Amino acid sequence: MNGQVQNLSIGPERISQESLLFAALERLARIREGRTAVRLHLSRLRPQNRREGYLRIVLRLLEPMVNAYGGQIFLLDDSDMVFLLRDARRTDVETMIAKLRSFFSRDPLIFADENDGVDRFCSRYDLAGDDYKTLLETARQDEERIRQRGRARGAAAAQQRTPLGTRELSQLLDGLEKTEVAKLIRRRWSIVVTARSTTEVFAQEFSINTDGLQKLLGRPIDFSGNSWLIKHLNTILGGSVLSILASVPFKPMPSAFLFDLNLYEGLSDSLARFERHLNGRAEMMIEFHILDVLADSGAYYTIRDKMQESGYKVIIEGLDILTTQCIEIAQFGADYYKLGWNPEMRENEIGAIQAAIDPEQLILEGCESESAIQWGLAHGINRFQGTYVAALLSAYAKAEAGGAACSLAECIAARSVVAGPLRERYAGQGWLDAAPVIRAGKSGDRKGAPS
Amino acid sequence: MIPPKGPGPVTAQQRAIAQRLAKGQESLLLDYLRKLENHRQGRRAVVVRLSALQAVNRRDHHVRMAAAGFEDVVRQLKGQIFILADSDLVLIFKETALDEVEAQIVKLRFMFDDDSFLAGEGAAGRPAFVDWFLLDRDYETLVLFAQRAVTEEQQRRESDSREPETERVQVPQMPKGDPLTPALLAKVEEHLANANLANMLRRQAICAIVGKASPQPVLYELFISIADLRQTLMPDTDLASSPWLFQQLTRTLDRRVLSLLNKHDDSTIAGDISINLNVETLLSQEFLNFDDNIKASERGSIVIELQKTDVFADLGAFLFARDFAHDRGYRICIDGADLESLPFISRDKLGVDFIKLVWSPEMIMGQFPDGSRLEDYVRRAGATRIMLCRCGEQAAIDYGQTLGITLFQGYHVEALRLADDQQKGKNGSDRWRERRSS
Repeated sequence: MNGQVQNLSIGPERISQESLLFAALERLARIREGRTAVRLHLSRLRPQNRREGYLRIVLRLLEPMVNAYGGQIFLLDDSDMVFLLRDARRTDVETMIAKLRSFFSRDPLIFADENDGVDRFCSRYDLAGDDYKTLLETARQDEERIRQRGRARGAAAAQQRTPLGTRELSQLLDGLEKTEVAKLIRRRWSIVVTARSTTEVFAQEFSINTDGLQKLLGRPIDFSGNSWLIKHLNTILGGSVLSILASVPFKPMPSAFLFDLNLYEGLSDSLARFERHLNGRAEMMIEFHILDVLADSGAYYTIRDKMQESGYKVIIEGLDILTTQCIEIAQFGADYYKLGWNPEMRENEIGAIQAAIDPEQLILEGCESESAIQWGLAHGINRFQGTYVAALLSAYAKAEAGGAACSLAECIAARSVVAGPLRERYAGQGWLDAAPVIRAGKSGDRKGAPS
Repeated sequence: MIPPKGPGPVTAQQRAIAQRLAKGQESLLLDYLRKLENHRQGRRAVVVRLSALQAVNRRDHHVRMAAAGFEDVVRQLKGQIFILADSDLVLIFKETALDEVEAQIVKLRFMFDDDSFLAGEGAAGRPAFVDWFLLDRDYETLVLFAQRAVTEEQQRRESDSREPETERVQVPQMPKGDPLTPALLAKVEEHLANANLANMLRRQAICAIVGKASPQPVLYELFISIADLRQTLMPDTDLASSPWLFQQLTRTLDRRVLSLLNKHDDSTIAGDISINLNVETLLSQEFLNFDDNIKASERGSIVIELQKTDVFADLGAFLFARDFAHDRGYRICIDGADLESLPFISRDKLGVDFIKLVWSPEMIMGQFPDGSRLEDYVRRAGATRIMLCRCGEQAAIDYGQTLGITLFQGYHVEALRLADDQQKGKNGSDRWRERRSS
């Protein structure tokens, strides 16, 4: 690493990059001629686009140019980067910025600029002029803020989540043996808006809630980083959901069960047993993740065909804007596809998805507000899942039962579990498992709906 | 590096699927034969015993593909095909289709060439893979065969509905060792943290083979021998028991491989190599250190292989890493595609340079499980952008060449190189020296 580039290691450090930047700018006070600075507003990117690995790459890309112009780079605490240059050729700097923009071209920050020409990605400073004062002042404020926060940092560090590693997973699985898995099962409701303008329950999905698993370790775990270990965990847990559900006394019985299974579970004893338990009383839907399908596509075709012949519906989950752009979706030959709701989805993106899959086959998941549903309906999608859906159904179920003696929040929570104190407290209540049919058009019907 | 195949659907369960797929085919065959009672002349039958093949060769898509081979005969109304519950195929056809049917049987033999049943065919007391019948002469035999098939199938159905559990319990499972667990993996990771895996590093050539010319190495894939690793660190463990934990293990291996390559003198890693990495590794400090050691001019001849599942696990990270690797000059190859998963993968959409396709004999049928043509796919992706790997037989190269593929890898390719070297009076170490000095 070149000595001219300051302290590029990522992680905790004694002297903050903010104070180093402020000191460097102060030193420049009398020799500002020919000096320029650029601040890359990486903090404005989506969190997944400013991960440590990405920042490392940006530093690597910048390094040669910054060295060539006798400059320095500072990686600030909020992921922003500032680099100082001496007598730099403007075209070199602009070429570099254009390259970096292309690396982040999938972030909304970059495509927001396409509309109005405002550069939200970076700010440029000519340090020979008045820009110097502006940058110095910003640097002073940053330095001050970090110094203040440094004192509170010790406490914050203790709260940091441990990334899920093999050791943590091993401890989790040990803990699972002692715990009641039934309490970790969550029910997720999905709805369909029918041609008759009614909104009905489409399916009730039952799966393990990983947040609940954290309690087993007694410390917060970050489940977001390691997809392989989570896949392994789900493989272990999937089968137990089926056997537990067979003994849950639903009133009424769900009209359609949805399970998120690993591929081979599609041929398992637990599924066959559950099927016998249902004895045709409810529809069965099985959801497979695209990664499972890719890992053993031959088995997928066999299992999908078998399930469809047995009258099951096969659902593919794990689709978002990027996957739909990068994979040949039509190959799945599934009945439905779950698409993650993303308010930043652009018209051309949903257009491409619509071209690949009939919107009637899409289930929009992660609907946290009515606007998600409005957006979906406007694009031909009529199946939805998410916290808003759960709240909507709970409100109607509660209203139909003549107003339950509990808050809506408690009602939603009780309807999302299959075991534990909450369900026990409200056992026998009509609204607990109710799947209300919502009819549009009558204004009174909207009364119980959450706003 | 291709992870070991997961625990695919097992025999008894496959049989259950085949039964549903082939619902009543035995009875249909019997009915059909009875209708032909007065039309026997000029008709033949062939029974293809797919049931005798190893389980791995008679998964549902094998059976469908084998049956699809006779589609033309059926479409031209020259014959009728029946897929029995035990996966056997029965084709009743008019003599005018004999040549077509025979050609198809040759293809099928080719397709299952590596199956131990076919290898031992003809030995005393062993049934044949294919039996031919003349309806005129063998009508009664055929009717008896069909009647027996109907009875057996009925018995199977009854016992299935009575005792599904028992049947599942009896599923024969090859003992392959204890399953890989997170606890075990954690220990292995710890052990690997500072291990020197130099003695487990292997290289295999990826060669251009054009026409009958001898293989010309264009790249050397460097990889850790998983068999050796297992033998050394966890001999009693079945690594295929969890594909996901295996994938996790490769993350640790990546770092060891990069550190090995960094330690080697320049000539070992000078250009022309292909390495397996995880997307996450491409964004790591270890990779940047590796990158520091590579001359800019040589990056273009380094191929980075990424597993298909790893790519789709975090597409955002993949696209970012891909752009970075391309910016540095590396080339990217998607690894682990097979006949079944290839249709999901678009080289164009992923913006990668190569796709590595695992050879399997059923490719000879020329179609994907959904019936679309392999040839069309290869044309779209670019024949020169596909590397056919795990070529264990000449058929792989012959068939690959008919598709326009020129890059091949596998034991058979190694064997061809060796034979070629011997002919030229060279030995392996000479060849290696030659490469190092070039």
